[in-house]
Amino acid sequence: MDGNESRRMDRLEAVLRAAHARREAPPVDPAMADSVLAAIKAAPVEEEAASGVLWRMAAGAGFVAAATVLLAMFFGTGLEEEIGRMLFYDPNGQVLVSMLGV
Amino acid sequence: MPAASWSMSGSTLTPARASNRRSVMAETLVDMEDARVLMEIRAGDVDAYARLMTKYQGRVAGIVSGHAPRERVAELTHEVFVRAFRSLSGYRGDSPFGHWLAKVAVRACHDFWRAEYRRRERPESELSEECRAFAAEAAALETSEAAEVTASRREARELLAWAMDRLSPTDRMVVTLTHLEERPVAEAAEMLGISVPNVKVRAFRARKKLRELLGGVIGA
Repeated sequence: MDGNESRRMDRLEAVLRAAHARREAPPVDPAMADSVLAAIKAAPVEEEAASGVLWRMAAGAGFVAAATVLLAMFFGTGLEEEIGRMLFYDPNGQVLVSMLGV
Repeated sequence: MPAASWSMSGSTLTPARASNRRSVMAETLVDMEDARVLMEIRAGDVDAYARLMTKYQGRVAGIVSGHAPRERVAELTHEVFVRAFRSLSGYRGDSPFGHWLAKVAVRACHDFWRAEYRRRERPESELSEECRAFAAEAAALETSEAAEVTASRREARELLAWAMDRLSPTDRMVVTLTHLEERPVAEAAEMLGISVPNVKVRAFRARKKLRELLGGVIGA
């Protein structure tokens, strides 16, 4: 880009800068303060609803965990071996014993 | 008042300095009023926030209109005030409330553009022939008065929007703050919450890209 081209670009940029400076903000909405206050006051209700969902999710997870434990207690003969096999191959349980420090 | 009586602590108090000092004092008084309203809000009077909104609504809408499309300004201004209220605990009072609110507004606009670009709801429009002709005409202007007159045309806004749409969300914010609004780099960095070197690098690269885009339009 030579000096002449650079000057043309500078002029175009100056016009765009002036166009930005002349932008017009839309008129102030007199009802905005009320709508913002309404949104702020409504927010705690939303939070409450969200925490209700969290409690339900936690209860569901707890129920699944309890069901799993009961299942393992009643039908879990050898279940621990299966889990052990899934996690790592340790047929004699040596790693598990050393981890437990027995 | 004689000029001699303006002399304070060894330096002459010029009318400009006096005016500046008066505005600082006025701002301090205003800030005390803001502080009082903030104390009421913190004490549980949510409705007191309406006073701050009434006071700063015009300023916030002005900032937002510099970054967002005109048809989204009202919605974003609303968002800024809701967001500011929820972040009030983060306002420590070490700067005027208006400055802090301006930061919230700029960051809300930044988030707005990031979300818009993610959604890709805005197809990249082609530049109209009128805009191309306008760009060539504007680049050939001789005087600054003519540039001022030309800037008020619809094509100027269209060309600017077209070019800005081709920058990344962060780059368009940086270019708007540092190049179009000519704010200092440090101020732009603080408003956007990014480092000064990052703003410097982005401003340089984004402006270069902007000039390349405009150069492509006028055939430079």
